[in-house]
Amino acid sequence: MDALTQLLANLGAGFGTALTPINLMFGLIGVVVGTAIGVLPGIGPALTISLLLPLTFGLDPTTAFILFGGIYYGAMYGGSTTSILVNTPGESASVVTTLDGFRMAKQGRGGAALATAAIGSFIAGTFATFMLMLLAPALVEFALKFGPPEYFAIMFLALTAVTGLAGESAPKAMFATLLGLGIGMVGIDLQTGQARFTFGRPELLSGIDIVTAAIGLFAIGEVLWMAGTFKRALEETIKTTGSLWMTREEWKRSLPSWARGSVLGFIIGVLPGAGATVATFLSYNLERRMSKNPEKFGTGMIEGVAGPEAANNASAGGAMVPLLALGIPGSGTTAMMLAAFQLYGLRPGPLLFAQRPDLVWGLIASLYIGNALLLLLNLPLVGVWVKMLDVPKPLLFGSILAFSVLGVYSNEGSLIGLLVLLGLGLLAFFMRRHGFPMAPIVLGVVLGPLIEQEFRRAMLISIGNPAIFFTRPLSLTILIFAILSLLIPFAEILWKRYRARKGQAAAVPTFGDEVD
Amino acid sequence: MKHDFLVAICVVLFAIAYLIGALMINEPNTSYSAVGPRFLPIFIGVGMFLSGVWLGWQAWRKKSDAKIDALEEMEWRTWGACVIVLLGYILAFETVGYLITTSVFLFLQARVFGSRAWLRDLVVSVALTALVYFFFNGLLKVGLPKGILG
Repeated sequence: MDALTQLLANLGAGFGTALTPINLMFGLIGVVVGTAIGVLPGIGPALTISLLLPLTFGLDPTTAFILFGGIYYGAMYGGSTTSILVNTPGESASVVTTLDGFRMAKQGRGGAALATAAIGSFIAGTFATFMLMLLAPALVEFALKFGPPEYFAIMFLALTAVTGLAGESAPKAMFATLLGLGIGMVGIDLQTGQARFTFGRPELLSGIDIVTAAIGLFAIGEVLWMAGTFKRALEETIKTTGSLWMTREEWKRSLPSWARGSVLGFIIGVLPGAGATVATFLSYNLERRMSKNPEKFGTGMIEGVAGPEAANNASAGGAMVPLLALGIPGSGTTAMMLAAFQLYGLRPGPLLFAQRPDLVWGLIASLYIGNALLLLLNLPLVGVWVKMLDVPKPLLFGSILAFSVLGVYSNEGSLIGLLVLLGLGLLAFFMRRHGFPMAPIVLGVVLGPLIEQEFRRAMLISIGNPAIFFTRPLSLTILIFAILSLLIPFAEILWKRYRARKGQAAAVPTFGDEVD
Repeated sequence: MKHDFLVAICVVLFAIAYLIGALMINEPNTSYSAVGPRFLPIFIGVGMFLSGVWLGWQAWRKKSDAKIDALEEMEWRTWGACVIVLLGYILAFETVGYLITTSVFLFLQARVFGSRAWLRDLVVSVALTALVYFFFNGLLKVGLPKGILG
C-alpha cells in the first residue's frame, strides 16, 4: 500500500472513531467549553485541562483527548471575542488582537473583526490539522532512529527554547525552568530507589503530582492574582458589533494575512518552546512589515486581527506535532496534554502511532470536525458568548478555587496534597508578581523526570562517557540548536541596540509579558 | 528599592537550601551507572544559584527607574482574605465534610470578591455544591469526605 492510500485509510478510520456518538458529544463539549474559557479573561486552556484531568480518569483516553483537543482549539477562537469587544485579552494568545480589533469595534466594524478572526481561525486550524496529519507520521518514522541521547537532546531543546523565549528577563526564565525541573525531582528516584527532597514524609515519596502542580501553578495562582487586581480592571464592552459580513475590500485584505498567519503560526507551533502567544506577536509584526501603511497599525487595521488570529490557531495545531510524534510539549497546554497521556500510562511517540492508531487518528479527525463546529458556533452565536462575561466574577473565582481543591482531593485523597496545592499557588502568585514566567515551570515539572531518565540511560549506554551526546550527529545537531535558542535574549538585546542606534526604535510589541 | 535585588536574594537562598537538600540524597555506592540520583538535583541547584546571582547582578547594575521598578499595585486586603478563607476551607475539608465546607466557602469567597447579592450567592453556593456532590459521589464514585454529616 502506498503512502497516500495508507493515509486515507487511517483518516477514514479516524473519522469512524471521532464520529461515534460519545466522541462526537465530547468533541462538542470540548469546543463549547473551550470557547467559553477562551472568552473569559484569565482562564486559559492549560488551566482548564489541569482542572479536568482528575475528572477524565473514567473516560476512554481517545475520548479524553478529543475533549482536550476541542478545548485547545476552542480557546483560540474564544479569546478573540473578548479582545475585540472588551479590549481585554480573553487569552494570552489574543493580546495583540486588542490592538486593532478593539479599534475596529469602536469604529463600528466589530462584526467584521469577529468575522475575520473566526474565518481566519477556521482556515488556519484546518491548514494546521492537515499539516499535522502529513507531518506527524513522517516525524514518527524519523523518530524511530532516536535513542536516549536524541530524546535527551530534544527535551533539552524544548527547555532551553522555552527559557530563551519566555519573558523579558533571562535569569528569571532560567530560574523558572530550573524550579520546574527541581519540583520534578521530589520523590523516589526510580533507578535507585533513593528518596529525594521528601523530608521524611511518606506522602511525598511518589513525588509532587503533576495534577497538583499544574492546578496550583495555573488555577490557584491565577485566582490569587485576580484577588489582588480585578477591582481596578475597567471593562468597556462594546455591545454593538455591526454587520458580521465583511466587505469585499476586507476580504481582499484578510486573505493574504490569513495565509501568512497560518504558515507562520504552524511553524512556530511545531518548534519546541514557542507557544501561541509568541506566534501572534511575530505574526502582528510580520503583517505590519508587509503592509503599505505600517503606521496605521493600532488604529483598526483588519490585517492586525486576521494574521495573529490565524497564527494562534495554526500554532495550536503545530504544537500537536511534536507532542504526538515525540512526546515533547512546547507550551503550557501541550505540557498538560502530555501529563494526561502519562496518567493514562501512554507515551506519545512512535509506539503510540503503532499501538493506538485509533487514538491518534481519532484525535486528528476530531480536530477537523471541531474546527468546523467552532466556525458555526462562533460567528452566528457571538452574542451568546459575550454574555459569558456577565457571569458574576465573585462566584466564578470561588468556584475555580473549589474545583481546584476538589480535583486535587479526588486525585490524592490527602490533606497534605491540598497544602502542597496552596503552597504552589502562593509561590506562583509571588513569582508572577515579580515577573517570572509560568509556562517553563510546568514544562519543567512534566519533563524533569523524563529528561533525567533519558540522560541516565544514555550515560549507561556509554558507560559514563558524556561524549555520547556529541558524537552522534543527530544528538549533536539538536544540542547545537538548544544552545542557539538560549542566545535568543542576547540576540534580541543586540538587535534593539542596533535599531536604537539607527534611530528607529519603534513601538514594536515584544512578546514575553505573558506566555501561554 | 530595587525589588529584583531582593528577589535575587530569595532565589539564591532557595538555591542554597535546594543544594543542601540535594547533597542529603543518599548516593548508593554500589551504583553501576555513572550518574546517580544526586547528579541532576545538584546540577539544578547550581543552576538556580547562578540564575539568582545573574538576576542580582542585573538589578544592581541597572539604574533605578521608578517606572520600571514599581510593581503592580495590589489589593492586599482582598488578597489576604482570599488566602485565609482558602486555607480555612482546606483545613476543614476532611473533618467537617465536603457539603458544608464548600457551600460556606463559595458564599464567603463571593463576599471577599466584593459581591453584594447575598441571596443569589447563597442559592448558587448551595445548589452548585449539591450538584457537584451528586455528580462526584453518585456518578463518578469519587468518595468525597462526608465529615460531620456522615
